[in-house]
Amino acid sequence: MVRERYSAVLVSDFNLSNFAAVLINDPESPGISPVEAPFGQVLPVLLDSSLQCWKHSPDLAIVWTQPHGVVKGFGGLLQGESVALDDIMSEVDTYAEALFKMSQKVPMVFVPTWITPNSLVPEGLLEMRSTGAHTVLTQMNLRLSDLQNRTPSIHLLNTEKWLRTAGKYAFNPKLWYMAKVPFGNEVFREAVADIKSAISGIIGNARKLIIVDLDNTVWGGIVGDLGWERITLGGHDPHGEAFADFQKGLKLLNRRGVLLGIVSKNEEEIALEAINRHPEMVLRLDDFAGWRINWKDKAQNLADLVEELNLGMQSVVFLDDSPVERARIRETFPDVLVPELSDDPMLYRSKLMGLRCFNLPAISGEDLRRTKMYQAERQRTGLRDQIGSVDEWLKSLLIEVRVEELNCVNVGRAVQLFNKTNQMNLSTRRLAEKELMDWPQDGNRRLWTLRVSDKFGDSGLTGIMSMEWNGDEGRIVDLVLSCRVMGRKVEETMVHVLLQQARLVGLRTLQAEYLPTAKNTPCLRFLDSMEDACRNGNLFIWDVTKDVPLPECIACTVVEGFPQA
Amino acid sequence: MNTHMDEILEAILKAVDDVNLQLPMNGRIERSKAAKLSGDDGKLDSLGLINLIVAVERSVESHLGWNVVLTGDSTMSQAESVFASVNSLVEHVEKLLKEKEVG
Repeated sequence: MVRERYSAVLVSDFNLSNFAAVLINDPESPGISPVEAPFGQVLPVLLDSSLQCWKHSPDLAIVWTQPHGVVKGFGGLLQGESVALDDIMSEVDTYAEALFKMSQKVPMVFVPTWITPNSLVPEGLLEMRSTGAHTVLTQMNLRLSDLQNRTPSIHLLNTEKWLRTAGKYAFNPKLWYMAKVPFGNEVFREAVADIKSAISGIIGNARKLIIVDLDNTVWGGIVGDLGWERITLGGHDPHGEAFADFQKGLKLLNRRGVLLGIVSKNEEEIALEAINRHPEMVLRLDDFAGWRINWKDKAQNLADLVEELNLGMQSVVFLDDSPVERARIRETFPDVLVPELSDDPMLYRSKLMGLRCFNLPAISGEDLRRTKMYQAERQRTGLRDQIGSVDEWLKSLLIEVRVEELNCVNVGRAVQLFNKTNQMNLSTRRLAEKELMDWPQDGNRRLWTLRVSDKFGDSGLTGIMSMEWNGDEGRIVDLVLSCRVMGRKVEETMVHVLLQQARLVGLRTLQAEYLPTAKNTPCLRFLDSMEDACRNGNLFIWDVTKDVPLPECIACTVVEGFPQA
Repeated sequence: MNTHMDEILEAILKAVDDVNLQLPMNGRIERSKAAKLSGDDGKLDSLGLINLIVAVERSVESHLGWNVVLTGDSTMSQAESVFASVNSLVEHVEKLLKEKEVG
């Protein structure tokens, strides 16, 4: 599913040619190639999958309509007619049902929320009454948003935000009367930026780590000079409030699963004391997954921290008040996103909230526990340093692996893991949620997820494996393991379980074909280390009659018969 | 007078920049007085022309503070020649503004 270019069908009751042009010409990745569905025939287009526009299985659809265009009752309401709310909602339901049906065939569907141009609605108190256009439109949008609970492939987008950004150029009556284009290009540019951000989030490319500097970034002043008692933070001071608000913004993102880290040129003891003791500090030490506070080069510190957290540079955002440090990181690591921070800290929070790189379609339990997991990892590493041999250390961890088939409960996290794991990944397939759920429906295919926990905590759903077979010959299709738990014999456990399952369905051989990418050599190294497998080029073949034992340090449970969606 | 013409030209070229964002790289309008707009040699189709009209009205208003209407009869009746090139458009806008001053 991860592609450089996505095909999109545009469905609308107005002229989307300007929007399509913005989509095509926008230089940001991923590219989108739009096809415009027949103009002004929204319901027939949504319901008729035999139309030419659906023929080539588009990656996504953007269905952008005007409320009075698809809900005739609302059009009547705008003209001052008396229309029952139930009738309007019934039309909304019909439209929603058509969207739902279409969403079964398209992996991603984006639906901008309904909005009416100011010129169609007289301003006044009446519009806010229970039968007023504004109130009814709010209810229509709420009803539409229920669709997202029915299917994970439909995503509503906030049109109102785009209009706010576009300001007085949001609507242009001349464009409407002459070309049936209701919005100015500023609105379309905002829409394209949000849609691309949403695609990135859905395919697992959202940024996962924010690394911040400390002095004049999360507080005002130099703590080493002033002491923690005199830094600018909180209180009745505009800059102090702005810094506290910026920290609140970081905390909000952390609560949505984005990790926080510190890279700062400071004395570690002095900086940590400020974080621990300042009464108005919003972020405390346990909000950070890791830090490098010393006088070394920031690029080196950033690289060390990112490696410790097992992430790639494409996951990182770096926030620093110093233009010199920003330039250094930008030059050294072009994949790191380094936003320009204003000289005025009162603009930091709005800059942070305006970044579109943290866009997740949903928040999983794993996302919420991520910081805690990294803290547990620090404890594990500490223990490893105390204990001599790796085997002893692994035994002391009391690792438990729980294997269960893909189901409607674990699919959300599974699809995230499936689409973002690069290193321990046999075939690096990328699939959207629906495609992943559909794949094992074939009788000769199975797909399992793995949860890994140990005495320091639950690492969550961190592995996926699948196989398909023909006669008595089987093939491992996916072998995916988060780097969070790599090197703890979970890989060997996966092969053990796969062979066990292969025996259960009567297979004689099981093979795995390693498909090389720029990043998955750890997978090849692991396969190469499997003495029981016979290697032929990139093909690894096991004799299913021979057992690959479960590693001694692992307790493994295979849960059978979990209900499918 | 020349100052007026230069200012109008600059406002129209800014509108051209805006419209170019909608056009494919190989179909963009050159940023010059001689650039062809619509007609046989031009780069704009009917929607492109509407986008240009809206962009020029907006640009003249925001950069020069003058309200100019390019959708009136006096423009549309001679649209082919007015929108033939950047130069003809500059001259037409200048003429409309003059008429406004006189009127």
